[in-house]
Amino acid sequence: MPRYTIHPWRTHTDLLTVRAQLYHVDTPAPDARRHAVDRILSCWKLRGNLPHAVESTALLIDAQLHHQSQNADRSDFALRAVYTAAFTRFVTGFCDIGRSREGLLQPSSMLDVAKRIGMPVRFVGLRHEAVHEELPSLGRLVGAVQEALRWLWEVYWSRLEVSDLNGVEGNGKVDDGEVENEVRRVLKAFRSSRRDAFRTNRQRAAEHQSEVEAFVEACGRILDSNSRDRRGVGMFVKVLVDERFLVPSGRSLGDSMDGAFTLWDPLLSRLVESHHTLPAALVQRLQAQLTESTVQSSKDVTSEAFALWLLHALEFSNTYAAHGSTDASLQAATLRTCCLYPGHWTTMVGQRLLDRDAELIADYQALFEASLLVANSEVMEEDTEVGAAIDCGPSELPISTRDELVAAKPLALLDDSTAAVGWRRALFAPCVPIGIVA
Amino acid sequence: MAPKRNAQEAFGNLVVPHQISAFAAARLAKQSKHVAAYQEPLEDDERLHDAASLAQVPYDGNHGDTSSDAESEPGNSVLTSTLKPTTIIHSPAHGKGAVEAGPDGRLTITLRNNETTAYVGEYDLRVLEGIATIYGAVLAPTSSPRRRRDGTVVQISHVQSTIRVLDKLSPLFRNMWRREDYPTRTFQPLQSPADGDSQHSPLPLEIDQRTETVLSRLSTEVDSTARLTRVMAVGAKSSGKSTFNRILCNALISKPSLQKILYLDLDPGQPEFGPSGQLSLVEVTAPILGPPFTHPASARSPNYSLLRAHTIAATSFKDDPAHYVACATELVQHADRQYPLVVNSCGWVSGLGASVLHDLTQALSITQVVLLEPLDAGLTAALQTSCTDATFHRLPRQPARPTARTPAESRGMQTMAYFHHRAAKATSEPRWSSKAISSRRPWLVSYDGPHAGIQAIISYGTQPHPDFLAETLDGSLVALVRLDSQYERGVLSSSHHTATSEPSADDSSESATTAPPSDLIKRTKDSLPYIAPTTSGATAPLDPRFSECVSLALVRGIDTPNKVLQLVTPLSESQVAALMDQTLVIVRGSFDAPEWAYLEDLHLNGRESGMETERPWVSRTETVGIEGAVWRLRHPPLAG
Repeated sequence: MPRYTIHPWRTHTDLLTVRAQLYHVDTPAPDARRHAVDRILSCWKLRGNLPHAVESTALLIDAQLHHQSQNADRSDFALRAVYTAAFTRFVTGFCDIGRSREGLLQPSSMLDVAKRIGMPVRFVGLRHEAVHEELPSLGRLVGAVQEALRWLWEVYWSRLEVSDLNGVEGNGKVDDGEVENEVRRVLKAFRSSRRDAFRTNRQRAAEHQSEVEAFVEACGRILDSNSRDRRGVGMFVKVLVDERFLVPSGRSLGDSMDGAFTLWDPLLSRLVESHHTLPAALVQRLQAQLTESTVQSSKDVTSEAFALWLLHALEFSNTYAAHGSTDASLQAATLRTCCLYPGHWTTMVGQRLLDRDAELIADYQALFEASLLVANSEVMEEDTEVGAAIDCGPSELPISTRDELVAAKPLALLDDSTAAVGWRRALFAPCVPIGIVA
Repeated sequence: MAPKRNAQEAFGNLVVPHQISAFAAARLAKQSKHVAAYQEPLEDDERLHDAASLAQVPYDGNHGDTSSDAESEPGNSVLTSTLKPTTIIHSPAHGKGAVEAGPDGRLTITLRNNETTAYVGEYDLRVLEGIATIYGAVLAPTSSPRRRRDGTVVQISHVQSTIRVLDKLSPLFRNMWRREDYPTRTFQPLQSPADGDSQHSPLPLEIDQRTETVLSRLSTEVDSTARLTRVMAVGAKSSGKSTFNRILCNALISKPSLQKILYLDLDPGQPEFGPSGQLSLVEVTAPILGPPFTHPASARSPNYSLLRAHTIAATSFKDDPAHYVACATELVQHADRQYPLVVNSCGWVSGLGASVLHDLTQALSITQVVLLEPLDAGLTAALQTSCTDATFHRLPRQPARPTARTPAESRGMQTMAYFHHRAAKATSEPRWSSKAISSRRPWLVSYDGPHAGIQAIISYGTQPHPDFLAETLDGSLVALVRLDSQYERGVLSSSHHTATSEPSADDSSESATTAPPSDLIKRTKDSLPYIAPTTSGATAPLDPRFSECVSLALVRGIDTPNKVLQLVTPLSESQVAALMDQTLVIVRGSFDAPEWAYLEDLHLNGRESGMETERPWVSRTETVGIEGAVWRLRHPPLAG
């Protein structure tokens, strides 16, 4: 089972920022150290789970800042007391943690613990002196704090991994057009290979299976390309959906889609297993196809095909995704879209989803029905914001932006009646982790 | 102290055989995880390695003098039922017709005198004939009790909605129940401890002779003093206070003349009836059988009805003992003296804790003190001299039971259960939501403008820097506190004070205010309203006489452009509707970080793709090397 760590910083980048501010890694603004120390001591500390190394660093640097400040009222004792408190907390903390980790029946002495964990023993000596004897002189404290900060850099800060995300900008930019061409080429080849196999009735032959295998690998490489920002997945899905690969060419209204499903499933199911973001991307792209056409004609063959594909994609992402768990959030997001963009085919999709899942009924039945009423009475106006986005080329928008537009809409629609109340219930169950505002 | 700590860690992580000694457990702990302590001196590089791993560990004052102090024992107390000579029938194998299986997996069990049977899991228990006791409660048939000369017939049937839906949302709730041998049942007979699966090695709940004597004396006291009985058990951590309190409650409500008692829950670290940090007064009308997370009190619960609550927004009262005592004193004003009151004190019996206990016994007019000895002689003497009217009972402390969860984990489970608990309609059993908390529809609460849903954010304990208030608040737990309308202005004035121990409400808030409230409310750059600390460095806590904690809430997100807080609370829509016209403030303090909430949807979906989207405050730990060795000790500070 995967293990997760909870930390008080929101992202790893925040921690690296603080490191740079504390240790002058880049050229810092004059107040940067102060800001970092405040952030650690009066925010992260309160959130809990703050590693002792981070806390001690902040305490020690706070003492240094206190020393540097031009406050005339500062007495010699106050200065030494601040240094001492920061330093003793630093040493005691490390020794306590180390001792509790030893699991000995007879706890060992601080000195032993320090030796074992590689902390200079003079740190323990100075701590002992500060607690039990005279307060050490300022000069010694200043030196010890500097040494302690170097030690902390060594054991903690220098070991932080520099985030991968930082290096991504600008390295080896692949031309999008090239990737799209490659996707197109592979998909076309796959389609004709499958068609040939069916025509010659050797779709189950081992020979054809290995062909499929080769296509899976080729697609996998495309999906993995640019994996940092997941553009590979985005471009793959864009070509697959927007260029009508999924829609049989000679199709007429009401035809079964089973042929198309049979053709594509071997490829898609394998890719879904290895690329967890693929189902969501595919579902979003299909939704976009359905909702972009402002009028969803009930006669539109292509829309019908996309609607059926959407249902199929949700189903097989459940079947093939890891651990066979139901991805409820994907279903909910789709249903949400169906409620927001009531039209012939979205309504069909919404109804089928509700029929499938009792939990969705509890959350969405009422809203879904309401959306039908609105659609039927044709009072729903085109949302200007979304409309504008479409004008500037929806396919160029990153998927996340599109998602935000969808999320923004319900508030705009239903705000008016409840705006005067301090508390209102969000209309939709969010699909984002805690801490992210959808 | 160290051996105890080790023992507890061992129980937290190992499969521990039945009744293991602390020393054996400590040995086990070392063998399995801490071999390093016995190795040859490390190479330089390895040393650094070790320090680097220590550097990751939070140091929150809990690594030093801590002892095994878990008081709730999930898994154990669910199933314990006992008569004095403990003969557990290992049914159905050895039952010889004593057990009949009915439809729906329902079991009917015939017991002879002094026989005991134990079932693991969740179930409805009904006594058909005769009389049975469970956890001190006496159960008899509800209608037409037929006398049987010999034996009792009980029926056990499975329940519809169970807390086990939480298994999917958190590993903390896993490995607590027995394997599913009978998938149709929510319970199973307890096999003998030897039959494998020793993670469940429940010990019988022994109610010894001395406890019986104290119980019957207290029971007589309740009968004779026209019910003016207020009982408080005093003892160190893990000395059996909560267990004693439960047995006492169950025994008292079993009395046909009584059927109801009041429970004053004053243990903010491990409360019986609510999330940690909360002090509450609860009306109890049904036996308390499961571990605390199985029976959160709520205003709508028919069995454990929450009458009033305050929050200290911390798991210990060390930062503001005066406020703690004021809250307790205020709560007891709401206790109907018709019914006996059981006080659940916390296990901090030295230093500051002792003086607070001393204050409490007087402020609450305790009439019966149960001392779980050994206790510090000074404390006993102080209590006896100050409470001359009270009767003192002495009991030996119970041996500490092995616990499978650390106190912090227990608190997490309790808070999680609290948030997933659905306010039950009257008569029905508690229900639990299986939905991940992140996909619960939040409340959108505006914090600025004329229609602000909350008036201010108040910090108890250490104040965050205003620039970082939003960052501190985001994704954390807070308490929602309702203010009395006439107090609304007073609370925001700098001269208000905490309640004295004589809560005479007549002078209320008139004296407090001359300045309009807005003067005291400052705003951060995100317009979050907060009350700045006074020059002494702390914000005065809300006066419990004029405020009330209505619920905890999780700050799901802060929508700064719209000036909206997204809050998730366990309150129902109608309960929130009733609060609309009230003055509400948010109290934040040192609640535990809601780690469980960040991970629920990850555990639910059981897939790694969850980490591919941005997930604040969470990292995937790729290697088990260093981190795997990090040993986190997070006992609550000082108090139990």
